Amino acid sequence: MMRWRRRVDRPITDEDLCAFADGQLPPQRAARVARHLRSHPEDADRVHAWWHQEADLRRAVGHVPDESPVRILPPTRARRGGAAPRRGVRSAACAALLVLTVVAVRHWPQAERDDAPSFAVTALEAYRQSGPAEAHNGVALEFAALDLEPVERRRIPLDGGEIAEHRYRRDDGTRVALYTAPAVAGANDGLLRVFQRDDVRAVAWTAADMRYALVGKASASELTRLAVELRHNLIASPSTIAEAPRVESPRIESPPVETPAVGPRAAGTSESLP
Amino acid sequence: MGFKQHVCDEIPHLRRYARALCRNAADADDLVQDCIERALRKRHLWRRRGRLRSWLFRMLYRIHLNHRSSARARRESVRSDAGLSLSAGPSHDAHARCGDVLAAVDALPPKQRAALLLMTLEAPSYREAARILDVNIGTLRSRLSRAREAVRRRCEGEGTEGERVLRRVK
Repeated sequence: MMRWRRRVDRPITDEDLCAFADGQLPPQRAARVARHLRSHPEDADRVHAWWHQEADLRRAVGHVPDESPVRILPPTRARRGGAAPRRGVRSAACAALLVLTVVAVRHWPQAERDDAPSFAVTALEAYRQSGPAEAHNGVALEFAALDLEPVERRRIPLDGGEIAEHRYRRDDGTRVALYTAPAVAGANDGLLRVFQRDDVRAVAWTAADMRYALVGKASASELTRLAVELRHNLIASPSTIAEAPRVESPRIESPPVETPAVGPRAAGTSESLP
Repeated sequence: MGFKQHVCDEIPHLRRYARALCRNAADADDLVQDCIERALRKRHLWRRRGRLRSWLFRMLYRIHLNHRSSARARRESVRSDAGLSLSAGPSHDAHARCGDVLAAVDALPPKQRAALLLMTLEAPSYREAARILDVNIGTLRSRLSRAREAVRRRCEGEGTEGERVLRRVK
């Protein structure tokens, strides 16, 4: 009894005020702190200042930008237990990739565009310009256990090359498209990059000497989830990306390389906590 | 697929905390990537007790500490984007206020900074936060109170922590 009374009566500290601000005090202790704050306005001012500062901090850094690349390895590679490459090795690999990219400029006209951002821009433009399904030129790739009903496949001429478009319809009736094109050997960084233009988003990555971009009017997290699953399926069956018959398709003028049109979320629109 | 999807769902929260911790977008993305890779590799250790997010945050913070130790050992300078950056400010005063708070948080010792950012961004329970940061609850409370007071004093121009003693209010 005495020990309990001592615990309740012990002096109020800054840590108690902090815990009160976080809502982490037991009810009886919180009630005592509240009584203290009513009779000590200078301490109440401090607690209010902490709340205001943290509201400002959340307003400043509480959003999550969409354009950051996140590399997600497929589970098969993860299960092999390979350790993440050391940062020094990764830096050397990036330097080697840069050299390969510079060398490749002489051999691939679009090499300066051979990175995920510019390919995503091209894919977004192709998605915007695609109209109703034309004469079937092949069925889009099928992916088992994915919410993707194949609609059509076509090849789209691009300055100096071509990209393949695979169009799908989802269960909710929305449309997504997967764009593929050869990549420069060695440009397999595996990074998933998210871009947005108006209400259309694209998730782009490079793997197995191919560039991919999944485009649709879905949320970034949903499109990223679908891209992760697609990537897993494509790695499991790389031969599924086959040549499609050459067709007459509207020519897509490759847009100038531009900064991915992703802006930060407006203030006050950070994700809500559960 | 369920586990991987749940892990993917946590990426925005992990990225947000990583960016705040690292003060550098590239390092933050490396950190999140390392965390996801390890989580997929160590999924057999996930006991389904508590929240998956707490498990991932604990992993992320440990990797962050390992990176910092390795960087110090290699005497690498920390890449910086000149501290945390603002997303947007609705008004000049609010923008300036946010800038003051960010500068004050940037100036905190790393462990206090990590504790304050975790509580601000994710609002976990003290027990959960202590587990993520691998400290006891008493240590967490101490770090939070010191951090908040330091930020408050800096924003209100009251001087540094060394000039004042943590006082007992009653």
